[in-house]
Amino acid sequence: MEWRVPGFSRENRTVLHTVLALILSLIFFISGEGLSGPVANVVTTIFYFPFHQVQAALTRLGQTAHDNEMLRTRMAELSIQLQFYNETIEENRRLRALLGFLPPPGFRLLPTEIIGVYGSGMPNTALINLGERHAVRVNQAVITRNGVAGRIARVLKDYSIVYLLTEPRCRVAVRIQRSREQGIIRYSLRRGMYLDNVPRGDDIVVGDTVITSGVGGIFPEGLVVGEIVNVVSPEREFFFNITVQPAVNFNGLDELYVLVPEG
Amino acid sequence: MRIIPYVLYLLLIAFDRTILTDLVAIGPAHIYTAALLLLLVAQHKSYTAALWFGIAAGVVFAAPDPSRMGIQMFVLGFLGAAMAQLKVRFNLDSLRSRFLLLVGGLVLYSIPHTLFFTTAGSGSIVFAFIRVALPSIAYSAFVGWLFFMIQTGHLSFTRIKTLF
Repeated sequence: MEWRVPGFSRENRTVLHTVLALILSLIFFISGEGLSGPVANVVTTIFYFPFHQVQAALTRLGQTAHDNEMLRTRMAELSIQLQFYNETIEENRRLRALLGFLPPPGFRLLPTEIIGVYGSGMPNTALINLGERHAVRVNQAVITRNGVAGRIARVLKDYSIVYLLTEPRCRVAVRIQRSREQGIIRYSLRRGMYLDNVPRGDDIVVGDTVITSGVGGIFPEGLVVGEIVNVVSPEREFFFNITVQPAVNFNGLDELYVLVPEG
Repeated sequence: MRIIPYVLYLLLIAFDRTILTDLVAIGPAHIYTAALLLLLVAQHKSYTAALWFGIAAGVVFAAPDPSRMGIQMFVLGFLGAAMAQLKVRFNLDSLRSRFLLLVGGLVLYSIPHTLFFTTAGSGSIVFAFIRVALPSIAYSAFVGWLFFMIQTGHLSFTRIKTLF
């Protein structure tokens, strides 16, 4: 790059350029921002603007990454909170249902937690966290909101063993709610839950509700046990073959209540 | 078309002022990019080119702070002129001479830079020179020397590979 000034020797040109540069610097120095301000505006627009844009984009990118990280953490926290709230809502729903869930006259409900359920295939025994200290006794009825679950089979100091209706040794005296016909609820692995000892000719149809009869003294009268789902009348037999769908889902037990006599 | 390299150098100064300077700073030591580019121009181009590039570099360098534009123009213009004058007295084929010219130019740049742009009292000028200018001179000299070694082929990937 060589700026030639006609009529000047090389030496003189060098001096001339130097003097011009010096004067220009002095003008800018003396004028302060009066001259350098507008020049700086132009220079900034041409030379700095693209880099300012890049810098702003990088800053935004960094901020976005930071925000992203923060939001991920917040999302994880909220997800845990949501799980907790969902569980609370479910508990609230159960407790609301419990408010309208009254025990039979002469009994009070003892809510209990299930410590474990046992049985091959279908659960037939449950261990609960109430025992002798809580006034639990053998043969007291154990129910859920939906109906009869079983009876107390053995009582320890702080725990009890419950025979569920799916335990063959747990039999319940029942009657048909509509027709008042009586029978016994039994369970076998082969037949499932069935209503036994109902003579052919009794008034029983599919859809009838089976409730406890109160006979036997273990279960109070009127607790729902299940619903008739199949009625077969074999030719040369005296009793019906009646299949019952239990009111309680024994695979999904969550809360049990022991019916304790008042007083 | 001959002006394009100078425009690119000026853009590099703006890039350094905007983004690069903080990224490559090591503690208080910064790279004197404007001075290094000016030395590059002064070594390879004429006196007038070095002088006016120094003036232009001063304008671009001072654009974010227009009140110092005049001084920056003067300092960088003077540096360009001085280096262009000095280079004829040095044997540029000698690595040692080139290194001396590089360090001399950086010192020449940093002295007025420290004097004019250290806003506190005279005591802090010495402190600023020791704390900021000297590390910056060393850092800039290292970068400039590295660039020169690569530019002249003294340092290449093949040569580095032979060391291992």
